[in-house]
Amino acid sequence: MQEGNLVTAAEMADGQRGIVARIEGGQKMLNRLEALGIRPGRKIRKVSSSFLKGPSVIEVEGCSIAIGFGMASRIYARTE
Amino acid sequence: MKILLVGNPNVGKSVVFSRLTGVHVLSSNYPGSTVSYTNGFMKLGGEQVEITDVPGTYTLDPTCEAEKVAREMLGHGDLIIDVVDATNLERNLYLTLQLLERNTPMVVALNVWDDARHHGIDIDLEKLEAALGVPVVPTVAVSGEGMKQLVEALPRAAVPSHPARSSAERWMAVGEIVGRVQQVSHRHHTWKERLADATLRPVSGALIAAAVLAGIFIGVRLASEGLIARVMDPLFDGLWAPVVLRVSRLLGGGGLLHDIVVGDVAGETVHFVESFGLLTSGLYVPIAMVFPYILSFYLALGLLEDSGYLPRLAVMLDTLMHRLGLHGYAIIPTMLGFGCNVPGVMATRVLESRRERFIAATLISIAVPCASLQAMIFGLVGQRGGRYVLLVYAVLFLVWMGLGFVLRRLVRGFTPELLIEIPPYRLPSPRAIVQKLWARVRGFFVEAIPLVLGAVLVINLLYSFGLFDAIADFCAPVVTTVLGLPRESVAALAVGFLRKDVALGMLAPLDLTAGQLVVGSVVLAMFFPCIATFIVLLREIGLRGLAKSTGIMLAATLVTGGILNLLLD
Repeated sequence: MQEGNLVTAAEMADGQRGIVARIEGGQKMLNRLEALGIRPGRKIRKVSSSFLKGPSVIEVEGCSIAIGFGMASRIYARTE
Repeated sequence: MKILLVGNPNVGKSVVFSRLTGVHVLSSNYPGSTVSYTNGFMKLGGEQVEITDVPGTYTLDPTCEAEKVAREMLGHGDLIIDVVDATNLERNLYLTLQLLERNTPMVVALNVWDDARHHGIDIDLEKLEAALGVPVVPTVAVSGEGMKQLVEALPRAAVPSHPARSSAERWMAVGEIVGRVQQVSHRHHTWKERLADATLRPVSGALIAAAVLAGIFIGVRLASEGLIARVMDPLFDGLWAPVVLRVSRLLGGGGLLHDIVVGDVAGETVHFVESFGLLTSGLYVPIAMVFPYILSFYLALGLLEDSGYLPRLAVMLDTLMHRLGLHGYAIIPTMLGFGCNVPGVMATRVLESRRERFIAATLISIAVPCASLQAMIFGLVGQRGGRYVLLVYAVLFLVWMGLGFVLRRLVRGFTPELLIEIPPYRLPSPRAIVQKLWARVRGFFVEAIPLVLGAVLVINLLYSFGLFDAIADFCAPVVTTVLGLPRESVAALAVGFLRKDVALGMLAPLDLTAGQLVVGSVVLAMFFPCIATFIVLLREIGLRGLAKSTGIMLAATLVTGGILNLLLD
């Protein structure tokens, strides 16, 4: 099986799927993301991104979550 | 005994609360519609128990003001009903385990149970009960299903001994429980979901957002105008005017009492806006002019809230809002502010940082006209031509943008990035929409109409004692030179502190030019928020915040009014 590429949630293409590999950030940010179900090992699907460094929307376990560009750029996922 | 309703945001706690207590609380389809707690009572085994609807929270480590409220309340409960969204078991159980570690008797209401089944999610209730050690009751709060069973389960509330865990251990435990109790049949994305995604994509989403906002603006206007022209005006002109004339004759056609009760009524026609008596303007302004707008705006807002579109609008506007020192979610308090600034300012609690709350509350109180004022702008400025109405809105929009841009630079602190859950679209239930509309309309009648009547009374008394002249002399130089408004309009600006709609009505008899009326409307919208808004501002951003906000408001009003006066003169 081929290993997927490591990309950030901000870079993922619309509709692309992946598994969260790591999140770079302080404990507070990790906690906030974790409370919404985003943590390493989770399957995610990119729903949409916006122009001008706007937020990205990703889907985790059937639940859509909008994440600001900065945070989304620090979530790394291994794409399928 | 005190029961607390606790759970993640947007799982339906407020609906469960309304079902249990019969007390109606506003509920919507977006996280954070409950920003403060509500208490109600229900009978339980012959005993009167108090139930509290706690704002939603993902975790007991609070990240915003509303979550802080939730955490503080937990210390005061004897029993917890943990409302869990069955379609999102894993994320919800994290909070459930945190709650269980607190050793308070608890029952779990597994809500949105019907949706879970439609989504192919199968949860083994017995296993879940065993794993948690507390009763688990499947419910569909919107339809009332399972509510009886939930109440019956309350006496069985249990305190299982769950160990205190670290967050990593807790997630492990959650994963382990979910793996044991939940089966999900795989399912492909439906065309509906693809369509739903389109509201979030940059191009299609922006077009849809523009269409939705324009649709609300035009729809509310058309519906209200229709209601005024076809129902309200015929009613007042045909049925009420003869009564007013008879009362006028009975009171002798003049004198202080006559002027207070029916106002300036001459001959056989009643000018309902200009006459300024209790039975004329005092009733016509709130009922015939403002109420139709309240009704149609809140109907539109209710549909928007319950559909689940608002968080998507927040995503679409996030980039713009960051230029104003806010993030996209601030659009929700702003939209509420278009109905009434009071709930708008209160809803700023969903924002995480103090800075954001200050900016959002200040922008709402200055640049967002409430439905009452908008109704009067449409009614009075609209008579001079639609382009003047558009001018008022355009100026207020520019002020909103410009002021936000300046505040972003001036106000210290930081604005966190957007991080919100986007709820699924739901078809609003007609029953819920009607209930919510009724609650808001009743609020208008109970709170606004007495205030309008009071304002009309006070204005008449102050006029007859010559007090307005004193105020007018004091403020006249600024008002006449900078704003280019006649000296008499000072009284209207002062009344704006009580009710904006009455205040704009006071400009009606002054024979203003269209340009002056535009200046007057803009100044009234920006200048001193009404007293009710003032009080919530004080509560939400504190005395220092209020002082700063007021200074900004005065400066912005004079600058905008002054420029507008020069341009339109």
